[in-house]
Amino acid sequence: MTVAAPLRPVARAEGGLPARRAMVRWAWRMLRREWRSQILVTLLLLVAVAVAVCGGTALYHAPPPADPTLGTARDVWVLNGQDPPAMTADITALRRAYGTVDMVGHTPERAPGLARPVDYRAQPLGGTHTGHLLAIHRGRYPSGATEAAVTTGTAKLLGLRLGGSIALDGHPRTIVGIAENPSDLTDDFVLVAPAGGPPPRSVSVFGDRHGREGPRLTTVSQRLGQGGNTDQVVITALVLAATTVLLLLVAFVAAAGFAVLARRRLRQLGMLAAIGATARQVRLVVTATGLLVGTVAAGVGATVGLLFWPLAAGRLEPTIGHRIDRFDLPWPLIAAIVVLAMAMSAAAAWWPAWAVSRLPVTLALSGRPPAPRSTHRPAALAAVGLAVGLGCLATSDRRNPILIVVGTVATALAILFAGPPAIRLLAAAGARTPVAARLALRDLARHPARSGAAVAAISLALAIPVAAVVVATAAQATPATGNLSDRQVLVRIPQPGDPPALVPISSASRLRELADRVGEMAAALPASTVLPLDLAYDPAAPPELSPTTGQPVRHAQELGSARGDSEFAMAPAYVASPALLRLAGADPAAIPRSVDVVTGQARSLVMFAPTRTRDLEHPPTVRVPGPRYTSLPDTLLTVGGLARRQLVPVRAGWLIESGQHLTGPQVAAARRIAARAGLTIESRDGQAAVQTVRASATAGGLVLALAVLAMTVGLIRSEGAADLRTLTATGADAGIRRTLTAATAGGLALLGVLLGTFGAGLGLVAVYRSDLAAFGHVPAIYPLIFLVGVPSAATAAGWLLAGREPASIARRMPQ
Amino acid sequence: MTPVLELRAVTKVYGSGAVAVHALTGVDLSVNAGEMVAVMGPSGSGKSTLLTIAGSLEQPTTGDVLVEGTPLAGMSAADRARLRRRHVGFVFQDFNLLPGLTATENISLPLELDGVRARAATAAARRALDELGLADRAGAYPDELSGGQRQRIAIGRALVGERRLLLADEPSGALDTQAGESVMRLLRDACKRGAAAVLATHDAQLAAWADRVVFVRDGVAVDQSRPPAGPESLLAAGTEPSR
Repeated sequence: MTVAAPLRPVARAEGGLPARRAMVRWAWRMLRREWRSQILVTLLLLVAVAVAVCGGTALYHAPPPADPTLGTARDVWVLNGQDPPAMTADITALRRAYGTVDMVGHTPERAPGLARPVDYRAQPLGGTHTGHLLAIHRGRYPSGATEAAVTTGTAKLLGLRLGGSIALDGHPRTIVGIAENPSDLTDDFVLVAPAGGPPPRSVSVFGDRHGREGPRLTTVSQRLGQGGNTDQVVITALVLAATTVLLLLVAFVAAAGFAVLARRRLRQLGMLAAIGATARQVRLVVTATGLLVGTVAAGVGATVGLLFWPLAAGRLEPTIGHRIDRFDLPWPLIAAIVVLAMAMSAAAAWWPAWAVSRLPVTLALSGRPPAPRSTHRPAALAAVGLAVGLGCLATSDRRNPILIVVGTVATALAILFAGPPAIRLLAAAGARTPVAARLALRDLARHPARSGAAVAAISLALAIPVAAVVVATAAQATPATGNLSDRQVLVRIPQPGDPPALVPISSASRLRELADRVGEMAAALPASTVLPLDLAYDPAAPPELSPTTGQPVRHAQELGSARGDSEFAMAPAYVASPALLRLAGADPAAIPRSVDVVTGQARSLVMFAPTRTRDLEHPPTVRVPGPRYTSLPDTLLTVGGLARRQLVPVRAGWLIESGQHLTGPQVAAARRIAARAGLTIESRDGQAAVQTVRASATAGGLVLALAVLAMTVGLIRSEGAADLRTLTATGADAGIRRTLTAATAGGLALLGVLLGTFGAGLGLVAVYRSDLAAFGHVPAIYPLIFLVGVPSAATAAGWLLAGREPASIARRMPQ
Repeated sequence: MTPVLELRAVTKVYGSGAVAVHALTGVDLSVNAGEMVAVMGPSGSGKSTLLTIAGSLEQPTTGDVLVEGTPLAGMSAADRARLRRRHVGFVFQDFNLLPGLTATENISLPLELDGVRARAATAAARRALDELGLADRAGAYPDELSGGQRQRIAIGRALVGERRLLLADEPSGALDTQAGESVMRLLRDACKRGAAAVLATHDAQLAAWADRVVFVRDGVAVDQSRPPAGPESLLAAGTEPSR
């Protein structure tokens, strides 16, 4: 019956496209027939993709669609309204110079019972540059001089409602709408029609200079500008990095699942090889299964994530403080997540595929698992990976992101490769245990593909929280960076919301009163010193109005560092006292008398006059290391520079430094005193969050590790049905079954904990090698929870849940 | 005439040292086109090992194996796979067909693995099914077929294309007498059309269908002879015992 039809196979040994198509077709058919066996892996991937899509989209929308202050304009001029004709001339000049500009008038009005005035805002709807800064949430836009709209926050503060009336400026207005700034939901104001509002104290002019130099303006009090927005790029990178880690974890579990699948299909794959399939074609069957599972999970997961997105967006808006366009989806990011999930799934299937394709055909046909192979190679790879990883982490000096990423990945791979040798060691160590435990441990060693993947998944799931606990503790224990040290409190006179260079004009008696309050704060702190902070001020400059409070302020001298085409990042110039110079890392005696500016900034500094009417100056500058903390003054004007420019010091605040770490109650007490005096204070950020981070990381890690463990043990024990059948036939009872599962779970958990903790610990030692004392501050409860709690919980759960296995477990698995 | 299969002093040893197992020792065998050879022997005698070495699934420890005059020694794994696709067909006692593929797809699979386009491979498989008398079961999956039908389709898959060496390991071991006889008749017909077949069995009645019987004991081919005419040939409804 030989069919000698004139068939023309391709010349290549691999069979080309027809062969690949046949392999993928068989993989797809098997997936359809045996989808239940893949449901766990599919669901796991599906949930990971849904979380990544929903979370990634949420993070993508974390920054507002437009700058809450600038809108879509690149430049905003804040014009002082004290001299209306001059302001009108400036507006005309700006319009003539730059074409389309939007104007928003501001009039702060005092409200009874409120510390801060309410902003009467004259703003048109749908401005070219301010379209994203105003929306009518309910009701309508006000018209004429007798109508107004208010924000929800203003309505709550003042007890207003639609149809009610407001008259803070002395003119009653009917509230006809609820307005909002969609880019900043915390921005509270009263909206009036531009022609019907009170005379504005200041006007913000929104426009775009396109890099051109502007006309000379006489009433500008502030100029704002923005550079290119890199937030989305950073967020996309962060989301993809987090998704990669999440999917890597899922991929390890999936690898165990695909290893079980390959084991079940061993005889079929052997038959495939017997009729002429090459090793590559055999690999393709299993890898295609992984790719198909990944495709289904990624497709459904992305759909589920997108379906949940509108619900999540509704809950997210109050938290992030701006409106979200539900239909503005980051398609490239979502596509990247989907492709990443498919690739991870295919990669997870590749390992078992490789293992199966290397089996002798006769062994595969017999359905017998292969004898455990030598573990020298994985052990050597683990050693190499660890050496590379630790080397990169040690040389990264906590600064080089590339070395940190390479080091972390290499260390994670080392943990992966260390799994199989560790499993064999455990099996050897358990050679004298009772038969059920011995059988379970030996079973792990005989199937390194699936048990190695399981150990890797558990190790990674635990290494992440271990690292989080240590890093959080180290951040608390070594306060060498951050906004301030944990002994410092910065007291400021400028109002919150105002630029730091705007200092309220205070009388001498008021300043004495403020100094007394600061002295009161310092007295409550142990061994504290008070350092006055003065800004340089041109006494000839006219006073301005605070855009926040409408009160008169002094605009102190500023220094700008160029950050693009005619754009400058402004910093107020503090008067250089010897103590401030030392804080900035300078030796006061070593500063030449001819120097005007001492700074920790690397960029070239230019000096503006407050009125911006003078040309830019490049003052003689000395560069110093700068202060260790970001909120301390880093740009100082020397006494000589002050005198040469006829500037005078004006008190802007105080720095209180205690002899000991400040406690939460001490900071709270200082905050109360400051609030009573109308001052604002700043203390070290994030101290209260450390314990939360540690507890959350530990709880999350435990849940994740135990969930991964439950899945992998379920997969592995489902393959042990034949063993159970044999054991039952020889008289084993339910206790043996429980012990088998408990020993499997406990063994995997122990190895996962040891490898995860060991790997993360070594990596962290490499990172913190110059500051190992940080490890001593980790509370003992955390290592105990990880090292003792996880294996104990896994063993106990395995013992308890194994009793629920159905009687059908003893049947032979279908081939 | 070049034999389709030739084994020269083939030895196969599993393991080494004290635990070494000599599965085959100096086996010589030559099978010509149109010839069916039965390999008989007790369990563990080395019958299956002989078939797997002849079909390039395993490599001998020493000795040479030639398929249609081509030595297998030195071939890469991919070349051996290609040889199996084009020249060698296997039939096993059970587990012959891939679940998830229809009868037609199971038969056309070796052709597709060899790069034949799906349409041409399917046409060839359909012709094979016609000859097997299973044209009406073309779209059936293995679990929808009887044991005899599955084994006939396995034979169709083993012979599809231009393959001339058929290696069958207890092909009717899991079948009843009637289905087993049907399978043996198919193998005999294949040999009549020019294929060479090697049949491993411990059943003398099946061996009676062969032109020649090789007796293997403890890995050594101890005798080769023509089988006696068995009673099954007399029961074969007036047909001669397929020689």
